[in-house]
Amino acid sequence: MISNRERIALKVAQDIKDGEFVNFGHGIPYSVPPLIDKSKKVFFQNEPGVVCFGTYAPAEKGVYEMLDASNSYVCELPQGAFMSTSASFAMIRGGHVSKTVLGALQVDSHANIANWKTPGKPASGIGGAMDLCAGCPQVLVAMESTAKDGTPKMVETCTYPLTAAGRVTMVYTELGVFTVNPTEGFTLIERFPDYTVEEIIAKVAAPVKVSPDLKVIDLGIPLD
Amino acid sequence: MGKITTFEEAIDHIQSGMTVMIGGFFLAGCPFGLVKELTRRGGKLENISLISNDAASEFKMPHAYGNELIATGMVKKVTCAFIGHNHVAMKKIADGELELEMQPMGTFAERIRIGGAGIGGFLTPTGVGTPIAEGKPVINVDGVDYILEKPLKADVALIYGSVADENGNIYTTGVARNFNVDMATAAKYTVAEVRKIVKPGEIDPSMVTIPAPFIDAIVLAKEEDYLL
Repeated sequence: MISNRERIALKVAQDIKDGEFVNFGHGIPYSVPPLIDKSKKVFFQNEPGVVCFGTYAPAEKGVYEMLDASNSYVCELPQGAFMSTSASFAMIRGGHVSKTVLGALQVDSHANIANWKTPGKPASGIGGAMDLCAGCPQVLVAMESTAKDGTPKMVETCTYPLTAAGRVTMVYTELGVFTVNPTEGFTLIERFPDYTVEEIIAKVAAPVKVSPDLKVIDLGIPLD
Repeated sequence: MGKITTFEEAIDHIQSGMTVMIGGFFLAGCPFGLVKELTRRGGKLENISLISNDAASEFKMPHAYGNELIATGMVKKVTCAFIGHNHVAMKKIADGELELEMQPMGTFAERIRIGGAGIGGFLTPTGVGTPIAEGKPVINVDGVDYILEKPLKADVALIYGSVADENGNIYTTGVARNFNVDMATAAKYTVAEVRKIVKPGEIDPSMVTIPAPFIDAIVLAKEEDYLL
């Protein structure tokens, strides 16, 4: 049986398109690149200042100069490029990275995202998330639908400090895939086959519209 | 040119009350030897304001001295984009012993870039509608809100390079160029710790990452500081 996190990552990987230029954040998103079908050519962007072409896999260990923002080793591929971090963020903030996939603590009906600070606890960092949200035309959130204590993470209004206001475009969870924007709120567009629409709506602490073209997700492998 | 110097002489330029930039993104492009030498000045220096992406720290690795540097107590303030790997700093912040200015990483990088470029501020959409905007002017340009962010400058920058020529031209491979490129421009005195020093002319001018006029001093890294 695959875990919730694995099914979310597999679904994101399935939806990445040939030729896209994507930045993957920490958590579930970071596990996506190896799952992308090798027939697709995907550019990967990473905050310190690297663009790689093709699969983003750990390179031979031992070179400090080849670490990425998650402290993993990156490949030096002939098609890649390095730049300063300020240039890397010009790429991000300037809208040249077409898509970012981020983890989140909360996402709300106003397309707000909170992913850097839990109230009452010191934040370990902001990193590149605020810039990625501000600049990328498509902001995908990949997260489990509830926190470890069962609290819904898709809510009507975020109670945690925001990372960005009104910038999220899609939400991927173990329940299914939602679009979100500040005027429409959440719309369920695809569901995993082991959840009914009613079960999904019950797990979201915000109004959910259901697309008339609602699809059932087929990952091509058994879920259990 | 006389830019080649020792770790001791380079760090002698840092005095109490100064602002110090340290390059590197986690372990990539961090000048370990210079941070180690600065850490040795614990007890002699105080009220240092540190500007470093992640407080020069990586918890898993033996050659990152960020934790030790903060533990000396010489640093009164850290400006960064990420601090979670520096557990000493996290504790000192929780205990009210260390001031923290946390920034979105792109804002942090751009503030350093404009600090070195003679620009008085920049307008960014990053952080609008979040706690980062609190206390800062929000300016609407053609219907879009931007936060006014001011430049970051330093008295001394400690940076990393792969190869320097004796004039101070630097070539850096891979991700290690990160913040080093812009920090070199944003300080009154910039020291580059490099893995190799060559004669002028041995680096192809087209491949120079940081031009010599930005570099005041060069120190040759000790390879034992860079063992994994």
